[in-house]
Amino acid sequence: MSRMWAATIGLTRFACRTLRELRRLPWDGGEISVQLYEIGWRSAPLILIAGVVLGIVMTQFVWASLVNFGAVDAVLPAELSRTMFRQVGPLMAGLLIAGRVGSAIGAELAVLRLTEQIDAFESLAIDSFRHLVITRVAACVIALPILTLLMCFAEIAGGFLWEATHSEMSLSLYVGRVFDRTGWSDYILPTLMTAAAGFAIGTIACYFGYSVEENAVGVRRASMHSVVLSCLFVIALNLMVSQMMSVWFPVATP
Amino acid sequence: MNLDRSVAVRFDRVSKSIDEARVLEDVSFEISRGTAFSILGRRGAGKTMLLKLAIGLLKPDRGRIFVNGEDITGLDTPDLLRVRRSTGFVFQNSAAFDSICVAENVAFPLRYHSDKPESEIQDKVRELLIQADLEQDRYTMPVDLSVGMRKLLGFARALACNPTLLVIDDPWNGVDSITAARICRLLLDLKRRRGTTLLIAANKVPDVQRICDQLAILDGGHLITCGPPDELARCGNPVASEFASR
Repeated sequence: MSRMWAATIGLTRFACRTLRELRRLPWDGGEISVQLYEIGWRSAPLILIAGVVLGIVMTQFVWASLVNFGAVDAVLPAELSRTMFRQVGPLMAGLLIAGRVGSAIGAELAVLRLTEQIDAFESLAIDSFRHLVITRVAACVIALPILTLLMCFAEIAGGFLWEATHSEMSLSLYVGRVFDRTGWSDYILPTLMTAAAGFAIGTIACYFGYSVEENAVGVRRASMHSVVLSCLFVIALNLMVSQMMSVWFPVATP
Repeated sequence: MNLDRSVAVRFDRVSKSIDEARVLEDVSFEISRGTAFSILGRRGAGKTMLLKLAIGLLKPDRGRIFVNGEDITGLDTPDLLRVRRSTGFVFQNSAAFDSICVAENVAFPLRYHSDKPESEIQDKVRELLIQADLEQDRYTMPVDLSVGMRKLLGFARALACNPTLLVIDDPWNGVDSITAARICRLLLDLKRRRGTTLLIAANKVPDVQRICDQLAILDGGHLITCGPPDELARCGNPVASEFASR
């Protein structure tokens, strides 16, 4: 229990320091672009494939539920896109990035700490916190909203693939219906909130990696704790956003 | 409080614990600029901790540490980084950046700290790699180097920014005799020709005898003796005599 309490205090202090350092310019642009490539670009295939598959599966289930009520082709694209933009896209993108990137950052920084490479940065008069932590957190904050949008559009594309094989709806009609009942409010707030999820994933993973004190077991724990806590945070954030959305932008009844 | 600038490093009653175990207790010494000082001690005596304290990688529980006349004990990160611009540290396991090749390891601090054109950086890297006899391995990844070569890479990287104080952690540990001799020559050259102050942790007297002006022995958390190498056997302390006899 005392260990958990110490970790909570340590993580809070670490997050405050990260916020403070994020506000201090200049950022290490070169290293941020390297991390954007690693965290953002290299996650894109996973996001695309997961999005398309999820879109197909969700369309199939919703279609099967609504088909008996009629007019399913008219309602399905709009409802699907609204669900994707408001809920599933941000949640799934957050969880996938927490799994892929959170574990990678946690393990990488833990190994850098244990092999004294972080001390080596410091001994060369390089601020390791700014070079390793701030660059990764900034890359997560920038990449996650973009990946979330990519996820949403991949899910909608998956929905169209299923529709195309089961009905005669054209692409232009499908696209028109997708944005039929979707307003800016449906995706601006949830997508922007994923920047907060990016901050949380980056900070949590960096904290567990940067402050590791043990050997190989420490690397395992850093990686595991990064994923578990990041996922919990993404789910909690998603719940919070959905509650805020239901109050501020309630879903209009057709 | 600033001290005499002719003193490169000064420890003033420094103590440090890990968890409940006291590793260093009231350690005091000073190193004059341009001289070589060696800390000897058994494994686990706290030599590495002492070296890390000397460049502010660790903070002491008690006491003060001065580097180039400046008290580094209470410095914040930016000031500490400024002080470290004039120091270099060679790690026991080299701590090479394992995701980049040998030449990139050496170029890293040069790129980070200067706006020099790439051609100048490459010239400096070549010079440092030739000095460390690593020119043929410039594109090799650190993981593919032997222990001795990794030590030499550690030297090349630490010397990239021309430090006035070089802190070296056990440079002869696990290296072959040819590499050991090369490290000796490199250290002598640094001291005599460039006037670099050296703080070296070592396990054996013969390794450091030719290089160092002062030797100190760390045992049980205390510096039990400190003086020129030839006085070690005469100081009367049994641990110092044992070191001197080996």
